[in-house]
Amino acid sequence: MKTYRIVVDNVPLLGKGITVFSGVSEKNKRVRCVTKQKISPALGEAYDVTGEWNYDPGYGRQFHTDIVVRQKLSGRLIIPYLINTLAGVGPERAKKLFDAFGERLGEVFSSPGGVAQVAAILNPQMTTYAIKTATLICEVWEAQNTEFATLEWLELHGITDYSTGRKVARILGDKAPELLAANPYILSTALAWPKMDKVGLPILATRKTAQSPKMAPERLVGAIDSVMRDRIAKGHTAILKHELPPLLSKKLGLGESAVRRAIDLGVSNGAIIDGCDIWRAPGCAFMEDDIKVRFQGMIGGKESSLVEVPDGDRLRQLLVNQSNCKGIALYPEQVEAVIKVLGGQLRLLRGGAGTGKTTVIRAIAETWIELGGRVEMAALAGKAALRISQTTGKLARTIFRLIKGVNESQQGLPLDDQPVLDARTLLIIDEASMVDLGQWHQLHSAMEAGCRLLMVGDPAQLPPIGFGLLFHIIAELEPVTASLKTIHRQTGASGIPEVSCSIRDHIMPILKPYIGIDSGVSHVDVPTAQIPNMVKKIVDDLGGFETSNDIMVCTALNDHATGVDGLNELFSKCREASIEIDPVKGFFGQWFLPNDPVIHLKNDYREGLFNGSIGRVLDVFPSQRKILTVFDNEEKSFSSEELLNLKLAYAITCHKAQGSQAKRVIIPISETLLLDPTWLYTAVTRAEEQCVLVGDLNVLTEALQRKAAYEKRQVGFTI
Amino acid sequence: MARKSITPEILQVLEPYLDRKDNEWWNQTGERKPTLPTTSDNKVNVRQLVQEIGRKPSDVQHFFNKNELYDPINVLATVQSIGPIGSRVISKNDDDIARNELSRAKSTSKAEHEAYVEAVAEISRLRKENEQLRAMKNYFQETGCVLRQTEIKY
Repeated sequence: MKTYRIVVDNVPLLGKGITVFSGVSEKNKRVRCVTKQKISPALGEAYDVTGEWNYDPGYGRQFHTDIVVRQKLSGRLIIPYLINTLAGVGPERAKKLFDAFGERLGEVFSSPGGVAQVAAILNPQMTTYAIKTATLICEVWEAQNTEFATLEWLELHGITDYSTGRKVARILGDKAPELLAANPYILSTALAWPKMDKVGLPILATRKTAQSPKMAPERLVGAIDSVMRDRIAKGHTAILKHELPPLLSKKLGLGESAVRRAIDLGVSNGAIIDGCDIWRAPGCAFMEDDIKVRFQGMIGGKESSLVEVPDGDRLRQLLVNQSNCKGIALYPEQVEAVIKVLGGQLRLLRGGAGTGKTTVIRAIAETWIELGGRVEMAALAGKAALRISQTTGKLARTIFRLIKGVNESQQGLPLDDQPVLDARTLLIIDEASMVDLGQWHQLHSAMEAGCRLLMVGDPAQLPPIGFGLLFHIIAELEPVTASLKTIHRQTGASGIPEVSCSIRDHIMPILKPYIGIDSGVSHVDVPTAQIPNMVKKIVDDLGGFETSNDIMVCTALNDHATGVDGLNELFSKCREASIEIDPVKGFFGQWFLPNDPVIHLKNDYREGLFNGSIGRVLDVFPSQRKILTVFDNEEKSFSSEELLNLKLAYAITCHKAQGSQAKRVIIPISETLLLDPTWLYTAVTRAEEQCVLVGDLNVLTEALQRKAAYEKRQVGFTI
Repeated sequence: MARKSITPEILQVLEPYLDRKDNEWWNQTGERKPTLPTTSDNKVNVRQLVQEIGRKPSDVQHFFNKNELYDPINVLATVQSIGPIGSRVISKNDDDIARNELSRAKSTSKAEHEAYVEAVAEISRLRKENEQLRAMKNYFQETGCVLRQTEIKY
């Protein structure tokens, strides 16, 4: 066993199960570390790593370590830290500073006259430039010390989640350890309650008061924060008032009077906000109210665009011209939708699958540009952004990219093609039903006054994965909503429109029996235990998972025989038995063979891959534990560590499937509360030609009686 | 998919270049003229700068994308009263304060240096406060929760 102290200068992999990072030691030795310890090292941080050297065929010598302990930076290690973390400090300056101050470097940075001393070393003439650079160095050093002190405090109390620690340090600043010591329950919104209590109670017990630590006001308010945190994790932003006391009592392990005291303290300390029959979570309430004021202003005419929109008749004429020149032919309902959308600052376009939303978006975008405006389009998922780009012929980004681009533009980065959300812009958000409250707040913050917003989506689909509900509520506002009801893309003969409409209305649809390749929605009645084999048989009937067959298996569960994991294992084993090629081992039981469909599990903007991107394996290289794939017609290779981000995609969850479609969709009907009308509607409308439901009809009937997922959300947003 | 970063390689030549430009600026007498290459609208001319440090034209993109490269250039750009490439480090406000301080910094008396150091320290404090607020905003946008920063009122 060996131990090195290194400063991190590269983190090639930050995964759930494995982390790879490298850096240089005090003796200038390069160490590439592989650890299963749950850490998230950042550039410039110092760690003591203990372990052994091993040889990897792809990467050569690697240091496998399970003991990774963060250390305070000192002495010579400050040099690589400066080079890695401070923009503008290169090797020459770093060396100059170390030569001047040696091991005392950290002390000088922290001392009151540090800036002047550092500036004098950078340039003896003490130029303005040198002073500014010296200030930045001392500033970064101070931030590093603050972060270290916070992480040290957290570690001392058994909290080793560095990612949370860094966030806390950034928010609380240099007072973090002091604030945490005074009230450890500050962390209630960041930690699970049992952990929180384990940290908090012993600290409160050291106080010299007669009060029991369990009844300490800090703990009572912390419990409220924790209940609201749990609610937010389930998608709510509020809680019915009568639901709070039992949850609070369970957290605190205390009776009625303590709960009453906790609620009083919660109100006076802003842990809950009164919303008539609900208590609202303060962070969500702030965002909901902020957006409400903005949207009401947009609807009420407090904001106006610099683009002048002609009246109805002239606009109609413009659309006729466009139809002639650009071939965008619109049905009367679609013409009215375009006119309504262009009639105001904030609009929502709703419509089910096949109603022609994309055609309407294209007409709106072309008209807006013709009127002298600028169009920015975005969707949550990369796939959805790509689809809207392809169908409208205009650039669409992910919301993440859009916001990042706007921020960079506002900071003055003169890059080409940066998005601009100013008073000439019409911002179109597609698949808007999937966007959560935090993302809407980011979008609203990025939009300058006068920027128009169009939300496009289908309220019958699943609500966002994250917290809050906006789209579904605004969709009920008639004055701002344009509705498309007539189905154009899917023909009546396919049966998909009729079935999806019935599901949306909670009515059991008429399903024909499955007969093999067909169009429309059919059903195979089998008990739950037989679902996996029946799904396999249907896939074979329909031609198998060849690209040209375009089959999607859309399921509700993850770890179940009828869920993603069970079905992927089944299909993977059948493939393994049918071909004589060694598979490449991934992580968490994944084995990859040529032609396997795969899904990417995280966003990697540099590579143009997103959480939910679906590709296919082209070739495998077992000796190097490497595979070659294709995503959106681009080849990408994945080395052993990068395989952590890939999973087989014979079956995917409906949430991952949202925003994409396939010619034929197979839906195993699993017995789960997740199965409700919105889930079924979303799954069925993924199909372009054929949809096969597999399972017990009684489970389906029961699912249709459930409330739609969005109706169960308790939120404070109103408009 | 891992690639070797080009930043350290560029920084190796950029750093002495900026020091040289800073000294040229500082040693001017009378009304100072920018020593960094500028465009017609008084911004940093990145293409020319890339040429002057002996890098190939295709490296220009890195000066727009990597803050490790554009930040130090912009620090000097604000000192010389020319438009920065754009970065999080330099805000418009910082820019104005730097310009005001610049007239004083033309002489080199100790007292004026100290005043300048104090002004920059104040900007630094405000910047830190902004960073904290931004971190809080990010936290509630990501999680829906807030992190309590005040003592509990009994």
